Amino acid sequence: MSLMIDLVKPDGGAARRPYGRMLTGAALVIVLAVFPLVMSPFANLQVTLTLVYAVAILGLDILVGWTGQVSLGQSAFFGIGAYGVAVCADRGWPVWAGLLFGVVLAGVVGCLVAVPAARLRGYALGMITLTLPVVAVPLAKRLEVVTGGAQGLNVTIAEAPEWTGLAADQWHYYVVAAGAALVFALAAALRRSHFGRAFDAVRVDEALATAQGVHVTRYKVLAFTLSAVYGGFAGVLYVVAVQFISPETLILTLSISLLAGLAIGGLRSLLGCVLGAAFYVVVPNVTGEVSAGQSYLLYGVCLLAVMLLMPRGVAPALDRVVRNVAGRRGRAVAPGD
Amino acid sequence: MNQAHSPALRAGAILVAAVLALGACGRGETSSSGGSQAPGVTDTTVKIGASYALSGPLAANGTAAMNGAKSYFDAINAAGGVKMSDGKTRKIEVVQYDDGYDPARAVQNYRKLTTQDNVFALFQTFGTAPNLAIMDSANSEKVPQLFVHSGAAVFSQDQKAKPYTVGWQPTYETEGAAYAKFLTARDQDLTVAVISQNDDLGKAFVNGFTSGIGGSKVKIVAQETYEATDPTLDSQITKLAASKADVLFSAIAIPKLTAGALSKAAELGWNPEHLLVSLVSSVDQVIKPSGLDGSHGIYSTAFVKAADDQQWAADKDVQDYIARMKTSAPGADPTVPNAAWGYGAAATLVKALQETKDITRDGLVQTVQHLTGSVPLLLPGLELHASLTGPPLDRLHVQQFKDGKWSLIE
Repeated sequence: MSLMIDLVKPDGGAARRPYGRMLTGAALVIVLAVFPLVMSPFANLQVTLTLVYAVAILGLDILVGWTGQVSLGQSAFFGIGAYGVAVCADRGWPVWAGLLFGVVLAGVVGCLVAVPAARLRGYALGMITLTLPVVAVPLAKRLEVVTGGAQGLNVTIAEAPEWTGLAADQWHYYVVAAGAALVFALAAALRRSHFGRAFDAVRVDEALATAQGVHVTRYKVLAFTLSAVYGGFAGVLYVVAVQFISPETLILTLSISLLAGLAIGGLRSLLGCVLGAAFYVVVPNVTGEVSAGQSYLLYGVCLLAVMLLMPRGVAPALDRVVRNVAGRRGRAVAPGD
Repeated sequence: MNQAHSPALRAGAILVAAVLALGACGRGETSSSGGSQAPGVTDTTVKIGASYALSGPLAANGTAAMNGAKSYFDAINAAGGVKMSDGKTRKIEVVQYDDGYDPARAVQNYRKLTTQDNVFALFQTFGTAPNLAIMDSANSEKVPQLFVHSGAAVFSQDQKAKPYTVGWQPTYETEGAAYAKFLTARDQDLTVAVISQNDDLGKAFVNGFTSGIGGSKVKIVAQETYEATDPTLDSQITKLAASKADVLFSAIAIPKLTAGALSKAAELGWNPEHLLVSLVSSVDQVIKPSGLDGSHGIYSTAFVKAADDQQWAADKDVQDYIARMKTSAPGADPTVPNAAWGYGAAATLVKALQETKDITRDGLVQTVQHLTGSVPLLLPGLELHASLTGPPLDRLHVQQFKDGKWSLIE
């Protein structure tokens, strides 16, 4: 809901007229609600997956963009959430139990990793988090009794209730969109709260943050845990969209792609998370239409082009365009950059 | 300050307008079907969809499978097309996308192929995980998912429950059982050491082998596993060598590791007979680097004629295959097994299309479930043999490495 707000003011400006926000929010809700009813199942799936990855990227943004840490471990948390819900569904347990299990487990693992990792910075932290997907993939294969081993798990969850008359792709879309909207709203609220300011302080200058009474380690652990919870929740939504999970999904490549998505979209922007995810999901499909054999080569070219033309990401670039259209001189650089 | 929200409003309004405009080309249009005919079938064409790993670590295999199939379809199309039961001759049109071996991408490709491209059937989608990810949808939506490019039994073992999905090549279990049959047929006391990859693939080979030797004089005396990420198998081979087993069954999926394992055993003075699964039976990549000459016995299995095997140099099937690969995919290597499998699977699909009486998706599945006869490149004595509990190819031949090449054992 606050996507458009962030488009205009990536750092959540003070002056905002309530009816403007409400209208923007209402417009977005209408668009999102009507979309699956009129679009093809393939388009719905693309939007659904975009929202799934957007949640994972948002989790990464809390850690990387807000707090200034590096993580290559997001695919592992994504996998924990996905396996959490899939394993529960596989055993016939209710979906909400699976959701809770997956998200809580991701958060607990995230917190456990964060406690020692919070002492590290930059590359060292990157190296530690790098081990997460490296461990997660063989672990998922080894725990065959619960995870289905290398073959993975086929599950049927979040089936469309009879009374809705909706097709599976439409229902999955609504479930994922509702979940994503909820956690995006939470993130927006968090960003404006004193937590958001504390994360900013840690990113900008740790010594200064400490001097101002911000417990740096505590906030790093919190950011890491939140990031893992978002990753886990994205994994749950992934299983809703794909109805399948296997070790191929949590490989390191996904972590890197999510990080790339964050850079593409732009740091500290909710809209940026969605745009980065859309880039990851939609661009390979478009390049695949051009040439199946060269789809990833062309994807790489697009990625380079975006990074060269919009080094701060798509959302800040859009932001500037919108400001110029509105005939106002925007701040070129957000504070803290 | 009053204008602070106006760009946001404007952007929101544009977004609403855009979606409502898109709404005009809604669902009704995308699911268009060509009159009374089955989806993807016109009077002159039949449209087939595929999803391969054309990028990522398995790109070489995925691309080879795609090229092999393409070279057969191109040859059929050049000759006019497939003559089907209604008397019409149709060209085969293949729509294919890259999934990078990512199940989520494979599911997207499936959606695109079935709802946007409106293909008649899916053909030879690549790999175990991507196929598993789309199997449930394909079966509930009654879209044939034919001849999947994987040796996993799960795609063929229960076609009563999943009638729209079927594999093509013999399963890893079948291959394991073929080695067991080869040993038990000798009717002598034999001890076997086993090394296998620690995943479903390795287990499938070992399960097939173990159940095959049940109740015979062949006994497994030592067993080790490895991870695909292990740099060498030296420690496992050293442990197995202590068993002094007569036979070493290598259910290994990585050529480099196999070569190292063979030479390590020899270095330790252990010279068992070697059983190499077909994934690692390459002369150039495995046997030559290992330094073994085969004097103690090296065996493997095969079901298609290898393009680099001298005994088939004058074979019409192989010559056609090599020539067609050269035309359709210049620069591609015809000796990669995935290419030969793709070619054979394409021939199987063309045969099924020719024999389908009722040209609908269900009719095609019916035909596939009763498919028999021969297709190009199969080894002598092997034929398609459709069943509801396995892929249409359910046998392999044992071959021995002799004088620098593989030769079939009668």
